[in-house]
Amino acid sequence: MPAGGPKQQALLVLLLLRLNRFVASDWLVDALWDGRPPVSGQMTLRTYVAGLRRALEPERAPRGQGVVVVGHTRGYELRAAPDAVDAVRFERLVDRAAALLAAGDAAASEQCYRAGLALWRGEPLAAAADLDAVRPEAARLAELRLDAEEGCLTAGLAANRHEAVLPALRRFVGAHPLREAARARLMLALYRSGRQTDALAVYEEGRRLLAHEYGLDPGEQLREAHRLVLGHAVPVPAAVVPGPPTVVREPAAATGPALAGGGAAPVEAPQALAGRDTELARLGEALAAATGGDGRVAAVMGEAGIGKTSLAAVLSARVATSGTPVVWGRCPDLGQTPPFWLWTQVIRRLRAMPQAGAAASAVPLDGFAAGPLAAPGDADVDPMARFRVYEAVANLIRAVAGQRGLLVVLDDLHAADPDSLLLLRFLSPLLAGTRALVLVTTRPYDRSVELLSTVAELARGRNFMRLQLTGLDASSVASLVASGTGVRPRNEAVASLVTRTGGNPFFITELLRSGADPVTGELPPTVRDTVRLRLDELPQPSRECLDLLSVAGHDLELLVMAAVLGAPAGEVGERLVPAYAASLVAEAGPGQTRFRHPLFAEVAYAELPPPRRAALHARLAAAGERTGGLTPAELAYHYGQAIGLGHREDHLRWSLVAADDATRRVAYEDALGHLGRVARSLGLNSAISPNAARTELAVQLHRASLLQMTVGVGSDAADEVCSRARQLLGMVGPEVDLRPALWALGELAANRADFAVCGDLARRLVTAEDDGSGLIGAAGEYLLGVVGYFTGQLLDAERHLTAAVDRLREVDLRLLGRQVGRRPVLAVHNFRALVRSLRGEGAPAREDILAAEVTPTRSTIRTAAPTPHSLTAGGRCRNATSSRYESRRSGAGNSERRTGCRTW
Amino acid sequence: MTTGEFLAQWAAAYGGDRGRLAAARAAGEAIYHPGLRSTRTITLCAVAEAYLVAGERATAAELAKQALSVAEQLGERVCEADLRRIRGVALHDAGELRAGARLAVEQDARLLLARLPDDLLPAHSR
Repeated sequence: MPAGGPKQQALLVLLLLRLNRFVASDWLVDALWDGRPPVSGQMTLRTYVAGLRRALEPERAPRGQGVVVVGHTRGYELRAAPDAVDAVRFERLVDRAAALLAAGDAAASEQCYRAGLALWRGEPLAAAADLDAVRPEAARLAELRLDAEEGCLTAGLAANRHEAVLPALRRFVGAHPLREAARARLMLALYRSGRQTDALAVYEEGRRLLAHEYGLDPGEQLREAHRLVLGHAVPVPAAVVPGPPTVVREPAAATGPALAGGGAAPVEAPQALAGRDTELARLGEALAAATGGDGRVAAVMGEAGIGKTSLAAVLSARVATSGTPVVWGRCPDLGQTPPFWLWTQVIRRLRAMPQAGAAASAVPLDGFAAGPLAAPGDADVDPMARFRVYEAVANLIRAVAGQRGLLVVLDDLHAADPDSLLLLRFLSPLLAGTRALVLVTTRPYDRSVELLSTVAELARGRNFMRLQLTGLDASSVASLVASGTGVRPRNEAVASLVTRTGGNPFFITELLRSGADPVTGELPPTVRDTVRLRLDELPQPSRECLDLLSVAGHDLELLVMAAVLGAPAGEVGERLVPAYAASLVAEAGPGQTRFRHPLFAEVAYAELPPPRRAALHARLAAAGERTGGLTPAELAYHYGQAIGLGHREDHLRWSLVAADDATRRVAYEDALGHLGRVARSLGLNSAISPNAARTELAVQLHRASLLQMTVGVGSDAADEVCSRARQLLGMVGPEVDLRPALWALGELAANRADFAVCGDLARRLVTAEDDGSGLIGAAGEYLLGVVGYFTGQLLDAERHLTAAVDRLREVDLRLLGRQVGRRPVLAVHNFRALVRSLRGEGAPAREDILAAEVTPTRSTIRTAAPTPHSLTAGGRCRNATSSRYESRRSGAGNSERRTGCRTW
Repeated sequence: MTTGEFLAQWAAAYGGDRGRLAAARAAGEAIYHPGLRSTRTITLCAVAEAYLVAGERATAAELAKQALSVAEQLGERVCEADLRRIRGVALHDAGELRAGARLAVEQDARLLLARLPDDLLPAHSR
């Protein structure tokens, strides 16, 4: 149909966009000439209208009343059945197709998409696309078309037509390389076509593109596809219908649990959860099996906001009514927590339970107590300590679960510290003999090596169960909306919600709270945008409190918040009222506030400009130091985020304290993390600053001793650290006592069969002045004896080992007692027995073996002498510089360092 | 734990349970995966001896050869004489036996000398 010249066609577009609605003449004139109409604009408009009427209503009598282009006072209206407009029909078909796809009818969905796309001819609204009034709508339609094309391909894939849609998917991704959802679907299509390596190449291409063009990592959908392909876990089409382009996020905030103090069961647990009956039933079965005496681990996995925590909360609420104890451990929203934080919450709670009995008072569990440890020993490592702690935790769980079973929920495992993951791995096989169910929730974890290996190890267990949560279907979405609003939504609205949110319950809940109209409104494209809008609605004082809360990364006491903000606690409480009213925060305990969902914290934190973020970290750390409200690990973290504001020294100081604290709590991975960061920081200055070199030397030796246990005796990791430590020997000042360092490095060199290095270090020890204990001299001779043995110089070996034995006789028995089982120097008799045996001296060899056995007995008089550490009276950590690194001015820090030269 | 596993497997294999030989060998290798170097020649020597006692001479000789290579590389020579002996017995190679005897004398490893046939020992050691 000829619609006249360009302006007349543009007029038709403007009227079509407001079909069956009055459109003011003034607006039409403005729109037709982009705000700069000619003087004769109104008259020209009438000419165009007349022209349109001739085209659209050729049968109309001259000067007769129009029935399609209807005239009103000061305006016009275009009247037509909506289906007469292709754009409207297209949108309806796309909505219908999305609903069909969500309902699982992929074939019908694909047909529907095709029908919609067939309506397209050329570019949208081309006749008027350059007008300001039309451009947004043209862009929206173009975007919708892309969504429809993507949806069509998704439906084809879901209908098991992966090979048929593959060429079109390739073309689509080629034309729109940054559309990650389409790329994810291409990967799945390739995989299902037996082309796994091509699928991985597609991922890699996308990853590189995102990184180079925008400095971004792949989004969750793409990473999920990658994980599925790598793990050969791509679901069969009948089982899983890939969701619409936007998917994500955590539990419905309205139903998320609040924790009344660490480890308590949720107090806000919902009684029901839309669309999760099957999952709840499966978890119920797992729990029944566990409490029946066949303990196990269950993992609930899914994107943030998908409802993992809510599911665990509902299960907890049901379990609690039966009298079975329920204990929760939650990971932080962001940042650093004290060592073993996840388990600390659980263990403190379990120890307080009467069922725990004697297991609650096991000494190895003291590391989970609040506050710094005033342990009798110092922070040196004990090879057996970790296993004693793990065993004690296992006993505690066994004891509590013994009567009525036990449910332990470990929430947000993806944010857990590495030591907590290790403990979970250790406990997993032991659960089979208990009546406990350990339920973990986690987001996709394909980028965390620790978590990957943890889940892999859990999965090897006989009783492991994995539950993958996907988006809610249309019916469940309708139920969720109805329960939140009290109104049953129209099907159109439900379909739109499913399309826009991927059925993510948290996304839907937050959309509804934001007041958006899911059918006609402009919806935020992602859940994070939705959260952002919700946060932006808060008054500024309230927002400032939430900014601080996000920087803290977890629950925060009002007192600490008040100290940072420089306001009375009562006033801070008032400032938080709007945030409570908006259901953005909840009470974590008396006087404690937390975000209701980690995504609130993540978005609030991401929105902070970096300088303000750093300043808040610094203020929080300073307040934490003043009030004692933060642990060394938290202080180290917060100062670390504020290094740019001049807090480097504070960061180093507290990192060293945190490393010692973590070591005392046998959180060796945590300690290694702190020490690694300090070493990197100090390493820049060690070449020019003897003080930095001295501290770094102590740090590297501490790392080496930990790595000997966590990675392995003589491991490559330990060797790398030792190489650096040996470099540092020449960089420290002359006042530094190097003997302990020589000793430790000598033992480590022996483990690596670096006999020349070991011999050199040992000779320096032998010629060095003894420290008065007799141990230093004995150590040098012992190391030379070890070198002699391994290199086959048996005469030399026996001579040095005999000298070591003689020197050990001078060592105080109490001091020797603290060495038993820890210091290789006590293996001197063993080595001499080996040497003597090889030399054919059977009787003396047997004497040495006897002496090796007797030595521990002779020296079991334990000393109560205090060992210096960084804690002052009262138990608070005030002298933040660890004595290990400063006060002794010793290269190795402690002459009792345990390293562990292999002796067998 | 790994060392304990090795010792348990090795003791069983050396004691006559041939079915444990492979497990002992694997457990022995596992000890060194993290990067530990020292004692490797000793472990290999012990495994080679277990294979020799079980009558699997070819494997025993191969393991001893591998251990000698490690000994050369690291300078860990404490078992070198015994490794030569194992190869000598396994391959019926008098040259290896003589080399083992010579090394044992040099190292004053009289225990090893006692394991060698008298006619191969240097005159002053008999």
